[in-house]
Amino acid sequence: MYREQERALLLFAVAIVLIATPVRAVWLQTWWSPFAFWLSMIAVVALLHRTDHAA
Amino acid sequence: MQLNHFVLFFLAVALLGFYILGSELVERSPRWGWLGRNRFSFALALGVYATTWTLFGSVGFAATEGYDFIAIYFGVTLSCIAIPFLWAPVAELVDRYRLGSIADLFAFRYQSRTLGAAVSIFMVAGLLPYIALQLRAVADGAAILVGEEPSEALGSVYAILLSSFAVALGVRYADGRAHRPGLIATLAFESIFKLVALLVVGTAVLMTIFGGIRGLDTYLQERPELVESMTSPVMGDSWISLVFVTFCAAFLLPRQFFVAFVQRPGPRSLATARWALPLYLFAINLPVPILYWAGRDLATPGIRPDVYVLVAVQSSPALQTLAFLGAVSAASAMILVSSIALSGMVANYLVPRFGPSPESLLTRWAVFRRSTIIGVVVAGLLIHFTLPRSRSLVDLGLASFVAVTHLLPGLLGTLFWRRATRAGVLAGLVVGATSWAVLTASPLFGIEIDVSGVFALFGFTDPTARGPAIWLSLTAHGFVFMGVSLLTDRSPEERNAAEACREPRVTRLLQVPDSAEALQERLTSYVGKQTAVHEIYEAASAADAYWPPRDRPEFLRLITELEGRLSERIGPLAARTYVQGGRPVRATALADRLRAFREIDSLEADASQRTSPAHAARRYLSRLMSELPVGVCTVDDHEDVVVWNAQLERISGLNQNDICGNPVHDVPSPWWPLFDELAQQPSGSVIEREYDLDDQKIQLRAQTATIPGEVEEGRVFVVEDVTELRRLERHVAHKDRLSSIGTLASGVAHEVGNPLTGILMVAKNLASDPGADDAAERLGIIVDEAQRIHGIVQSLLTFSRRDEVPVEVRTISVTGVVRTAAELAKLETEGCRIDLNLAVDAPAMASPDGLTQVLVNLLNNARQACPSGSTVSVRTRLDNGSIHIDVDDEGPGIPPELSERVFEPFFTTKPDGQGTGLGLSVSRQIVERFGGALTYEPRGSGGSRFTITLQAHEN
Repeated sequence: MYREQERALLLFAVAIVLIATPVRAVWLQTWWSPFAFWLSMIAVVALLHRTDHAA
Repeated sequence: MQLNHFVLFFLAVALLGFYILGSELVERSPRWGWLGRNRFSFALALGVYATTWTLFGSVGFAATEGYDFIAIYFGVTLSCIAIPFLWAPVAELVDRYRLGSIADLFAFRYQSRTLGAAVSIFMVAGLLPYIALQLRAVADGAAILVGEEPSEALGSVYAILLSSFAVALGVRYADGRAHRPGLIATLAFESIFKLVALLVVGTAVLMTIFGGIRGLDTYLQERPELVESMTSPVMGDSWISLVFVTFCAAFLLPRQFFVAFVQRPGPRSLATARWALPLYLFAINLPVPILYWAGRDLATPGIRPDVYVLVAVQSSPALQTLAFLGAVSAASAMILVSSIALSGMVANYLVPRFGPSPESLLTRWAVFRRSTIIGVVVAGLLIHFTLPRSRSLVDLGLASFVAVTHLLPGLLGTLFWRRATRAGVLAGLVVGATSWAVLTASPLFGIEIDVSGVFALFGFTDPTARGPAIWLSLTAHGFVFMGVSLLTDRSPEERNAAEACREPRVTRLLQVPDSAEALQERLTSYVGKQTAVHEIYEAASAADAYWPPRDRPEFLRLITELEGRLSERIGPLAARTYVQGGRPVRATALADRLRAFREIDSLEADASQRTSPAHAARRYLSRLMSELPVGVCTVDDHEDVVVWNAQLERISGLNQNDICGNPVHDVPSPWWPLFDELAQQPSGSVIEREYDLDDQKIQLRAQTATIPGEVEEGRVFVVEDVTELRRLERHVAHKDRLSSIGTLASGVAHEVGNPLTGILMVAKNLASDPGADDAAERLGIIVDEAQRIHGIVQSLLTFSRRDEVPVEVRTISVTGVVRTAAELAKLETEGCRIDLNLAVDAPAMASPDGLTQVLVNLLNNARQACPSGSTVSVRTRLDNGSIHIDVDDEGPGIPPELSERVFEPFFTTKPDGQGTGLGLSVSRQIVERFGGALTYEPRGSGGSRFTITLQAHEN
C-alpha cells in the first residue's frame, strides 16, 4: 500500500468516528457548526492532497 | 409579474441549446478543448451528483429531517477521502480494460454476460425513480411559477424537452469512447450554473428577508426550536444509513461511475476531485437551510416543502426563474449522463440477448441508440405518472441510492476478494434486488408488504424507518454472496480475470493468437473480413504498429489496443472472445454493431485527422519519448515542464502528471538543482553527480541541449542512472587487479624465495657460530634481505588492497609510477626483459594507483605476447602539452581485422582460460576517468604499441 493510501485510510477512519459515532454531537452545537465541521474536513483533505503531491 | 409557460419554456430551451453549442465547440475546436481535459472541469463535472434533489429536494428534506439532508453530501465527502484506496483501483481497471460501465466491470471480473445483464436490468429499474424525480421537480417548479397546479401534461412537456436534450447530446457521446472533452466541459459549466443560481437565490433571501448573517442569527436566537429541529435528527438512526448509501452512490451510481472512471481525463484528476468535489457540494448546500427557514415563513398551507426555494423568492420573478433554470440545468445533466450510461449497459448486455435482428440493428443503428435513450427517459416519465404525488423528492432519490448500494459487495469482491464467484455475486444480487423491490420500491407505489415480523426478529421496532430496510437487505445480500462464493468454484476464465483485477499487468494477455494471420483469421470468422481489417488497421494506427507487426512486442501492443478498442464498443467479454478466442456470444449481433461503428467512424470529420501522417508522427514521437531507456525532461520557453518520460518517472519516483505543466523550478530536489546546474553549462555538456534518494545513493549522469525553434526555444535534459554501471566498473577493476596478482604469483614466489634462502643460510651459520667476528655483517645481510621481502610484499598489498572508491586524480611523477609498475611486472619469472627509456619526466594529472594498474596490465600482456628473450620497452615522451607512455613489444602483433576490438570487454586473443578479456577494457576506462587516453597501433617492425596519453600538469 502506498503512503498516500495509508494516509487516506487513516483519515477515513478518523472521519468515520467523527461522522458516524455519537462523537458527532460535538459539531452539532449551533446552526452553523455542521458547516464549519464539514469545511474543516475538506481543508484537511486538501492539505493532505497537497503534501501527498509535494512529497 | 406573473411568469407564463411560453417564457419559461423558451428560456429552458435556450439554456439547453447553449449547452449543446458549447459542447460542440469544445469537442471540435482545439482552442477550447482544454476546457474538457482540465482536472478542475472534471471535478466540477462530478457535480452532476447534485440534481434537482439538491436544488429543490434538499430544502424539503431539511423541512422534515433537519440537518439529515447534509448526510447526502457527507457520504460523498467520506467517499472522496477513500479515493486513493477505493476509487483509484477501479479507475485503473476501467482504464486498463477500457470498461464503459459498472456492468462491464462485473461482467469482466466474473466472466459472465448474465451477470452484466442482471446488473443492467437492476440499474435501469433502480434509476427510473431517480429520473422520475427530475421530471417531477421541473414540472412542479414550472407549475408553481405560473401559478397553476402541477399536471401530467406539464410534466410531459418538460419530459419531452429534457429527453430531446438527452438524445441530441447523448447520441453524440453514446458511442462508447472515453474521455470526451465536450461532455466534461458541458457538465462542468452546468455545475457552475446551478451553483451560481442557488448561491444568488440564497444570498438574495439572506439579505432581503433576514437582513444578512446577523439578522439570521438574531432570527434563530429568537426561535431556538428551529435550530433544535435541525440538529436533533442528526443524532437519530437515519443519519448513518444515509451517509452509507451516499458513500456508495458517490461512485457507484451509473452516472457517477461514467464520469468518474470512463470520462476521467487523466490520472491526476481523481486526486483533485478528493477535495474539489466535496468543496463544490459544500458551497451548493450553504443556502439550503436559509431557503428552508424563509420558505417556511412565507409558504401558504398546502405548499410542499420541496418547492420552498421558489416560495422564498416569490417576490422576484427573475430570481424564481433563475432557480427554476438551475433545476432544469441539473435535471438535464442528470438525465443526459444517466441515459448515456444506462443505454451503454442495455446495448452491451440486453440487446444481444433480446434485441432486434442483426440486419435491422445494422441499418438502423442511430435510430436504435436514440430509441434506447428516449426509452430510458420515457420509462422515467411513466414512473413519474404512476407514483403517488405524496412521495417526496427525497423518497424517490433514496430508492435509487439504496439500489446501487447492492453493487458494493460485488465491487469489493472484484477489488479485494479473489475467491468471489459469479454465482455468489449473482445470488447476492438477486437477494438484494428482491429485498429492494419489496422493502424500498413497493412502498413508493403505495404497495405495502408487511415485513414487521421479519424486522422484529432482528430487533427493529419501527419498520417504516430507513435504516432497517437498508441494513437487513444488505446483510442478507452479503451473507448470500459470501456463502455461495465459498460453496462454488471459479472457472479458469474467472480465476484468470480475478488475477487480472488484482495484478492487471501479469495476466493481461494469456491466450494471444500465434501470429498476425491467426488474429486476422479469428476476427474475420466473427465479424467478416472487411470489418476485421478495418478494426485491425485502426488499432495498428493507434498503437503505432505496422501490419503485419514486425516483432512480438509490437504484436502484443497491437492486440492490447485492438482488445481495448473493441471493449469500448462491445464490452470486455465479447472483445476478449474476438481477440483471444473462446465461445462466441451472439457474435453476429456484436459484429453488426462493429460494422455500424465503422460507418460512424467514416462519417466523423476527425477520422481523417486521426489517421493523418502528422497525427501518426506525433503519436510515434510521443511513444518513442515514452519508451526511451533514458530519462528525458523537456521544458518550453516559459520554463514549464513539457515532457517527463516514463524512465524519468522510474528514476525519480515522480509522476509525470504531477510535474508536466508546472514550472521546472517547482520540481523537487535534487532534480531542479541538477537541471539548474546543467542549464548554466553550454549545450552538450555532461555532468555526473551522486545524490541520496530515499536513503539510497544514486549516481546520475545528465546532459542538456537547447531546442532551437523559430519562435520558441526550450531545453531538453537527458538523465541516466549510472549507479549500477559505476558499481560494476569498480567491481571489474578490482577483479582485474586480483587477476593480475594471480599472474604475478609465481614471480612473487621466486623473488621472495631467493632472499629467504639467503636469510636461512646466513641465520643457520650464525646459529652454529654465534660468536663469529663477522656476526654483525651477517645480521646486516639478513636485515637487507628481509627488507627486500618486505618491499615486495608491501607493493603487492598496495596493489591489491585498493578499495573500490573512484580513483583520485592528482599531480604525479610519471617516471616514478612507471618504475613501480615495471618492478611489479618483473615479478613474473617467465617472458622477456623490460627496458625503460624514461628520458622525459613531466608531472601529469592521474591517479598513481590507477596508472600503476594500467601499466602492470600492459606490461604483463606484452611479456606474455613476446617470444622468450625479447624486449618490452617503455618510453616516455612529451608532445603538445601531453605526456605519452609507449609500451612496445616484439610479439606477433594483433591481426588488423581484430585491432578495432582490442578494447571491447571480454574480447581476448589468449587461449581459453588464460584471459578474461577485461584487462584492456578496464585499463581504458581507468585512463579515461582521469582525462587521458589509451590507444593501440601496430608497430612497423612487428609487434604492438599501446600508448597512454596524459595531460601534463602546468605549473
